Amino acid sequence: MIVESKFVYREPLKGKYPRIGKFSDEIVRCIKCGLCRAVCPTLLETVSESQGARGRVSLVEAVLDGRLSLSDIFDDRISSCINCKACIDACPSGVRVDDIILAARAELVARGRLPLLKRIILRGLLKRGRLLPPVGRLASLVQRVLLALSPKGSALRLLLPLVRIDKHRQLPVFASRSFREQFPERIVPEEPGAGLKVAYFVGCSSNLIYTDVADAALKVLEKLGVEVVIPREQCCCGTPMFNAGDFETARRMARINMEALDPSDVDAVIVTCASCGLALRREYSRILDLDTLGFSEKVMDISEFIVKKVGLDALRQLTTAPADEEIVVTYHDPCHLKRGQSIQDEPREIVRSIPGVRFKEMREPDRCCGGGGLYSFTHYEMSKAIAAHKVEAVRETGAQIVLTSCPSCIMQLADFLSRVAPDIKVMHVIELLAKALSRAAIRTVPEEEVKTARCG
Amino acid sequence: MKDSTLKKLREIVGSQSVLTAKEELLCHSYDATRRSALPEVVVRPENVEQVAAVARLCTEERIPLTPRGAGTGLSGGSVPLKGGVLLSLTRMKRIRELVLEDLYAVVEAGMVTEELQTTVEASSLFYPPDPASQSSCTIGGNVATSAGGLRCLKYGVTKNYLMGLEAVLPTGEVIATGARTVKSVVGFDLTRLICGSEGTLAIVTAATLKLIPLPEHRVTILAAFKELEQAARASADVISAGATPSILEIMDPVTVSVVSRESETVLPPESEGCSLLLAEADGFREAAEIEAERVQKVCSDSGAVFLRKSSETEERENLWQARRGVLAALAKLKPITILEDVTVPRSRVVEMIRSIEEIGKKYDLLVATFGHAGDGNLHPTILLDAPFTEKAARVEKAVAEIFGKALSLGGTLSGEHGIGIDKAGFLGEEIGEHALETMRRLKEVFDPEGILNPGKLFGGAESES
Repeated sequence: MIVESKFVYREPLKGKYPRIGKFSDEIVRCIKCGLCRAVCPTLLETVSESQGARGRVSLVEAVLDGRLSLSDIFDDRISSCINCKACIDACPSGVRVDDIILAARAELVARGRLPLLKRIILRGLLKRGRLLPPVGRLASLVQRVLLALSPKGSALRLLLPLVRIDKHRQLPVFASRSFREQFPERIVPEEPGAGLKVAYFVGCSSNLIYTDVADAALKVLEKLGVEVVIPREQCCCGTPMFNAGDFETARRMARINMEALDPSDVDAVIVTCASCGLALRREYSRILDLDTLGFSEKVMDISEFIVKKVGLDALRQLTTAPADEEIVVTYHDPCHLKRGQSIQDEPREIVRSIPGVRFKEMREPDRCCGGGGLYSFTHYEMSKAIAAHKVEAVRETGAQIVLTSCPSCIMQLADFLSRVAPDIKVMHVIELLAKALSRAAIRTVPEEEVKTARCG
Repeated sequence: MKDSTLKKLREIVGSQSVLTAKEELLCHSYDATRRSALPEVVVRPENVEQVAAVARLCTEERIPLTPRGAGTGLSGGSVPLKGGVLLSLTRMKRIRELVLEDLYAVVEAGMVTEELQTTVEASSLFYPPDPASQSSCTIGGNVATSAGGLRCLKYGVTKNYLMGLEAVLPTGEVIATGARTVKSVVGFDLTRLICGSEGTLAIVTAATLKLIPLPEHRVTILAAFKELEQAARASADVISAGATPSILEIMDPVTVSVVSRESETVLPPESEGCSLLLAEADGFREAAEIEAERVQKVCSDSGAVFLRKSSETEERENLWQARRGVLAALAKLKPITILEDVTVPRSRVVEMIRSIEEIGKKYDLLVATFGHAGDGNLHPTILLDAPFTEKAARVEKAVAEIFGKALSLGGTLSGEHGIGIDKAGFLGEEIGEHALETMRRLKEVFDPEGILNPGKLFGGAESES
């Protein structure tokens, strides 16, 4: 009488929905306790159950057992997840909500539900790494012309909403030359330190927009006596593709990268982007079903590499205060680094080891900033609402610089801080470290060595 | 649902707040019991006037109306068994007043419990009720079930912190119960009648909550025993010795081994194969330390093979992690966890635990028992694989037997989760025919058309989707 009707078990339709079906055991483990409500950023903004982790898992479950179809509203709720993984940490059963959501997106894409704009960006541009540098150059030129013509008060900015972009946004500027066009494929330090050798997976943002991050990474590695190879064939890590549910395209990217970044020849494959790192380390195998044995274990975030392979003691001998006066800094944990790769101490240890820098922890440093890569464009209003909490937490610290470890977070923080606290700088941890190492002369690459690096 | 009714609902709360999409209905169909039933419409009011207008409409048109907070309940209380209107109160989440000198706060029903706690703790005040779901659950739901938590032993449950309520009757009138004073004897105590009524008498829209000074010091004690009975006996002896720890938790060997294996907690290796008691003393520094020493001594006298005491925040946190991680660890072991909530007088805890063990063996079910030994509230949890169709009958019999045993020991069906749907059939067994009839008549006074949260407490609802 009591238990009989308590759990209505419905057979999952694994044949009809193979991508979601793969995670049916994961879905069943959600006990609907609702503890994820406390941390899901989209639920906290909307206070709406269908915009939270538990609601989304319930909707996927309903599709899988035939109670619901792959409807427009389903698509909307599944798309509005920013993939911050906060729910996974809060979940008593450790349900991998992220995997379930991505599988649902793949199911939607398999039925032709990838929006045209995303299709063009993902399959047309990002996929063809070769196309990107020229496109980046063109974009850079167009942007510089437009920005020159349209300073903050300009009427041209009023046109931005036409392409669905808030006229207040501070948009990232494409570099005139991509990072990989500027550097050779192999860089040998003058004074080899511990004889370490790494392959650098640059990632699109550091290659095309935040070339300063990639520059800084090279400077730091050189200074630490690490030999760096920047394989030419590497391309986009595939995160934007599998995040949108386009597993096929992502899989192709992954294969190109795994071939380009030969792990057998190096001590580590280094990344400066949290999302790239997560993709290479976990998602290639877990989401894309690729055999990454021997590859994933070699991938390291640059902060992790420095702390674990080079060591903080070696670092301390080389760093000097990056400025004449003490700098107060704080650190924002990228979701894909802290929850994605369990890396939270290393960036902080590096920052604390730099003389003349005072580290101040912010409130909820691992709360999502609302960036989420393309999310800030496809879900701008939500992204903005989520960012407001982060901006507030950063301001409370009184820091002059907010550091982080992911270009996507840099883009988001720079955009929203510029509106209310333009004095606060946003930087990658490695950029600050490069400054602290820069008192010693850093060898510049001779002009004749510069070759045009191209990828896949 | 009639179009004219939907139109009226939209006029009351605005069309944005009337949800009829299948997806929205599905997302408001369940609570943490995994029971589910689809409502016909979800309504999200933002103030008490809107709640009143919705209630009036539902009574006029005889539409079932089920209030819901965060949907974290463990008895099916917010599952809309008869369809109709699902009233989601999560948008009403303001703190209306925080009066430091008079030690109370007036908060709306949708306020998240932990948010209230964090807010008042910033002013060195304390709102003790701490249900396990405190990070998500709402004050409205806490009032509806008189939610408890770990700290009940010393601090009591939600009803002990209620000074008054703002509630909407199913017929649409707004009533204010209680007062803002420490004492008040003005007629029937409607506050405590509505508290624990599981949304069957009125819709709670705001509560005036008593606050107390935040304890300045906390000490945690962990004790391991070879036998479960030793641990249970020690918990009773602690109380007899005149100590009142704020928390006194017990974990059986099944639970302990699962916790050690499945979660990343740091239970000391000495606890392997043992039963554990976990206690916390709090208050003024000296008092808390004295109390902690007394707890330690009793445990040691009762044969504890391992003892640890800590007042360091981090170490304490680690120890509590072990307790908080229990359900997580159990859920990782088996996907289906049937969590019960029987409570017996403290002196009968040993007998109850022994019976639960026997019943588990008798029906060949894996049962882990943990809970609040200090207040006699145990959570025997049956662990199953999904689907468990062939075991369902045995589970049902085992649960019924556990209930029966608790009642025979002078206990109660539910310490803190409520009757809801799950235990509706057993209510009469505990309180008797006349008390049940009195409750039914009270229900009619409040809710003449029987629209409010139908199928709960008294049963009588079969439809499920």
